[in-house]
Amino acid sequence: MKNPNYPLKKRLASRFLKALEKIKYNMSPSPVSIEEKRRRHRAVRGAAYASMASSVGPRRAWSRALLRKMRERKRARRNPRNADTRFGLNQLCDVVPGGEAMDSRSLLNETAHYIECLVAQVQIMREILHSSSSSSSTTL
Amino acid sequence: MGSEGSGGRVFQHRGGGGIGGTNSASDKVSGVTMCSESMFYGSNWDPIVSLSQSGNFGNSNIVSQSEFANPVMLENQAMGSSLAQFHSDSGFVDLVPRIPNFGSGSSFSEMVTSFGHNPDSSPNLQKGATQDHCPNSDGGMLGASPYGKRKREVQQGASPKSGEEEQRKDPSGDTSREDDERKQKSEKGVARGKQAKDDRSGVEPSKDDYIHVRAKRGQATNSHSLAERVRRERISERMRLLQELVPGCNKITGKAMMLDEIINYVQSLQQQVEFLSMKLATVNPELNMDIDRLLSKDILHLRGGNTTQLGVPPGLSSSLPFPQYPQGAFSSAPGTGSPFHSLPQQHAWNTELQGLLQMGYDPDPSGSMGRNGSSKMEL
Repeated sequence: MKNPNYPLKKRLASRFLKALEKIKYNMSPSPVSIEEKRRRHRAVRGAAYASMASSVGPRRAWSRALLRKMRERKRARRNPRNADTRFGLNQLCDVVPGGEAMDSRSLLNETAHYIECLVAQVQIMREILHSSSSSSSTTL
Repeated sequence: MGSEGSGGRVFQHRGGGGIGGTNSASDKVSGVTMCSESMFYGSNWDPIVSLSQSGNFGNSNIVSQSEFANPVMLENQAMGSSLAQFHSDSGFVDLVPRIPNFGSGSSFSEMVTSFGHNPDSSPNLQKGATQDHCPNSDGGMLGASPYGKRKREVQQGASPKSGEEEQRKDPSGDTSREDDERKQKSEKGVARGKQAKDDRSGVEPSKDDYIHVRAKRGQATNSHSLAERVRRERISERMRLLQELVPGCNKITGKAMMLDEIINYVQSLQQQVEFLSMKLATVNPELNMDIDRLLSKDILHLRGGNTTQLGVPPGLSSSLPFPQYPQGAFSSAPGTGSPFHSLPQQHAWNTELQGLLQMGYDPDPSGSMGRNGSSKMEL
């Protein structure tokens, strides 16, 4: 893995934080209903994936797929799979966004990059949580 | 000279960006490809070409030599030089002549990988030539190091070779997988007197593109199966790449299990994102975001290797050497100074996260839970 991938992480961090701020701005200070909590949760998660996809941009197939999904809000068109066998990658294509439309080799490439971004994103989120929890001493 | 011709051709291919099969994704893979340009062989044999990570093997010297008057000797020297060049730790020096047909041009395959990469495999490696073996005009060197993954086929001499050649593969794989393949191919690699000419003739017209693939003995040489095999090789390259990404997967062999691990890992990462986003959603209103502060902080630094391991345990129950990470975390925690004071807390939080996540998963070794109990997290 690119250890550590500073440019990517910087982009991820900045975008994600901005998205979080926007969400926070629209949020009520203390959510009362469960539904609102769920909505917030979904918003944050969506912000996480959105920041991942937009940080990476259209360079990667999985990020393109994510962006497409975000914009169109519909499933990516299922392209017919290549004639080559999938080598058991069927499960993987369900996990990695946009995986159905790739052939085996690029699917593996995409998976690798997707893993990198996921790891970076998770780190950033943890860091944010940690810093916020330590600074504000909030008990969750 | 045919050798030069072929060598030149190969070089051009290589200069053209190497194997076309490796797309941009391979850039980020450090140890993936290795150069297998063995220009030793002279006549019409086209050497295996692959991307070289470590640069040319010293082959240019070899290629420039027009006449392989004594191909065996030449190869030995080349091998010797290259070997010395790459394996100062004498990892490769263990050369066992597997192929006794010497004048006929034994082929040896050389492990070319990130050099010094796999000391384990070196004993199993049969190198084509050692410095010691130089004198064998029999060409005893060629050890068909049957392990295909990192190998480079070097064919020598104008004489036809035994048909043992393997495609070059990527070095980033694990040794266990290599060993299996090595054993597998060792059987094939044992010298048989058969000329490789047939294979070659079968191969050349079919694969005229950037990759020259040798048909293994006992395998079909028509273009379809070769293309199939090449594709499969590339896919296993990627698999190895992924294997490096997913922590704790060095011991896992087999594509199916590896795929399972990868999928588990990705799913666990996604679940972590979910989990963290939930936490962030609840915490968020109180956040006093200071973007600059956060960015300049350990996000970029301390986070380097941490969570990668952390993220794995929830998803991978058995394969991950789980207890190692928290111990490392805690050991590093106490000694940190003020700039890092967040680190111990972070580690503690991480372990609690582990504990939380593990509750949903297989029961973890009690060590982690104990640690979890001891670390009183403010979460």
